[in-house]
Amino acid sequence: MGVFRFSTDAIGTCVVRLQNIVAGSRYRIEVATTGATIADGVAASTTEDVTIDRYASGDAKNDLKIKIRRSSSAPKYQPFETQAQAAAGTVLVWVSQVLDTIVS
Amino acid sequence: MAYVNFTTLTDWQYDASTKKLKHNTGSTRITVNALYSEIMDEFDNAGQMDDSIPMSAQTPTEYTLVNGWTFDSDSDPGYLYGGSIVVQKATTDRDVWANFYTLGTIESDGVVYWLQNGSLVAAHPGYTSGHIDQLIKVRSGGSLIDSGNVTAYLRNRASGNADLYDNFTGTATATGGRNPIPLASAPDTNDDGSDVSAYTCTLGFAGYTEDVDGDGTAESYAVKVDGQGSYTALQCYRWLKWQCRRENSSDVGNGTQGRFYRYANASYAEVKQSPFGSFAGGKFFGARGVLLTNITDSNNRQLIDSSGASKIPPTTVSITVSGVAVGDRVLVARDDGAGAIDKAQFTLAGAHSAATTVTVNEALGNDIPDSGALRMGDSQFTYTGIVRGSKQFTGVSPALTGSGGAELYQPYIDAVASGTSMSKSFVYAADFDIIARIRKKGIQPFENTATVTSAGAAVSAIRTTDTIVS
Repeated sequence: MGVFRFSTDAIGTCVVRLQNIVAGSRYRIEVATTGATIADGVAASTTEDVTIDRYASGDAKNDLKIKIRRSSSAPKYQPFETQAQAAAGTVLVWVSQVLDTIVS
Repeated sequence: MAYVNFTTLTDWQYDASTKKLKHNTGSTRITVNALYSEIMDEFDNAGQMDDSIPMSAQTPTEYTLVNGWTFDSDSDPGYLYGGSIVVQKATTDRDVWANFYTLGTIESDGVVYWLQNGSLVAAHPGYTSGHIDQLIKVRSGGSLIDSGNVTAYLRNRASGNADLYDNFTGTATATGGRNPIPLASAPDTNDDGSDVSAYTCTLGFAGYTEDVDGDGTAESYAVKVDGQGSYTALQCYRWLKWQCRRENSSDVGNGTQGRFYRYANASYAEVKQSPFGSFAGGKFFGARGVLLTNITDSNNRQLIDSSGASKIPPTTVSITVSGVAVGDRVLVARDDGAGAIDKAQFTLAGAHSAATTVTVNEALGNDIPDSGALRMGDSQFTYTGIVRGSKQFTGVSPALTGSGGAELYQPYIDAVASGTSMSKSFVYAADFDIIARIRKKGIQPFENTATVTSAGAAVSAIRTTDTIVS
């Protein structure tokens, strides 16, 4: 028996791989256009895989904004933001956090 | 969402929905870096990951409120110090809170106050005295305020502890910046801070002329300080400092509050220690364009006219004859160098007939009084004016008649005493000798000599009764 899907439903999942992220950093993946939360958490190591839904090509929900912050304990970093697009398989996101030498 | 406290800096709050930061309570002032650090700590929490970061740091002392964040009110930065903040509201719409801080050696009870764009800027909450570190808005809504200039003043004139004043203007950078304001103050040994509010000196701002140096040409001044013939240079100096004290918010006469007065003209050199002029070695040194006049010790001043030329008043000295009695006839005149009165001091330039203006052949030195007595032979005259360039005595009375070359002289005193002493003031030019005579039937004639110096001359008469005359 088939499954009926709306055109706005997810068509599968993909893995967003946050590479080079500083362990202990908090990340948040959200829809770039709306800011709706897709996933968030704290990176356990320098590579963090996050599985998220994937939508039909052209769906704005595939446009991702990724926020990474770490400023509660040393070493502290400047806020980092980037964008990516959900796609089949694994989406590699290279994280390039800059040490915050001013914060205390 | 409403305002919520920061986790650690609980005096401060934020509202992520309206993107505002606010000092909510308490009196503790914190560095801008501490606020920035708290914000960064707060906004990496899970609950704030969906909020934009409020602040960024450009240098350890320069920060920016970004992503549309602003302060709740202009009073909030009063609780910050140690750095500047740009509030970037839109591409060109931004406020800049520059950081100004004083440094240097100042009196601990000195109170620093700020001037910006002609108005007093309130000190930060809790400030009482000493050095200050404060954020001041130098750009509002994208428009620079007074070219980014802020002037700090330090003018303490407390009773028994008056200081030499100081002020300094700092200019904020485009990003605000942390701007040092060097100030120095020290006790003023010439000012005891005594109450001079009852002094009746006057202060005027207009075009004034006066021949201060006695060269026959009046100089121009922009400010006139009139001692009303009642006050010394030192008293006027204190009164002028009182006019410029921190507490004086009244107009001194040129549209400037006394506490902000700095100079007669912005192009003139400033005398920061005392804006109208300083005092040292018993003498008042006027700031450029300031005329101190009508004081009781006019020698104790050195002025600078509006053109910037230094003007030193001639030294006024007196010849005083004391020990006389009412009715004594007193004559004081120049010595001819041989122990006699110089009766040929001047000669008439041509014949004079019933003349009230008398022209002589000899130069009239600065030490010939502007008014006084003349003698030609045994005839006595007075004059009321002198025109040195024309070698003329004017206002001569009675009218004088004499042939050309006739000798005459100018006694410094030639009158009958009406008290116990007689005196004549004039400008000192060089030392010269005088002869003083006191005569009256009933006493033996008295005669003595003296030398007039830069301190003047004094002759004490000895009245010895003539027991023989009848």
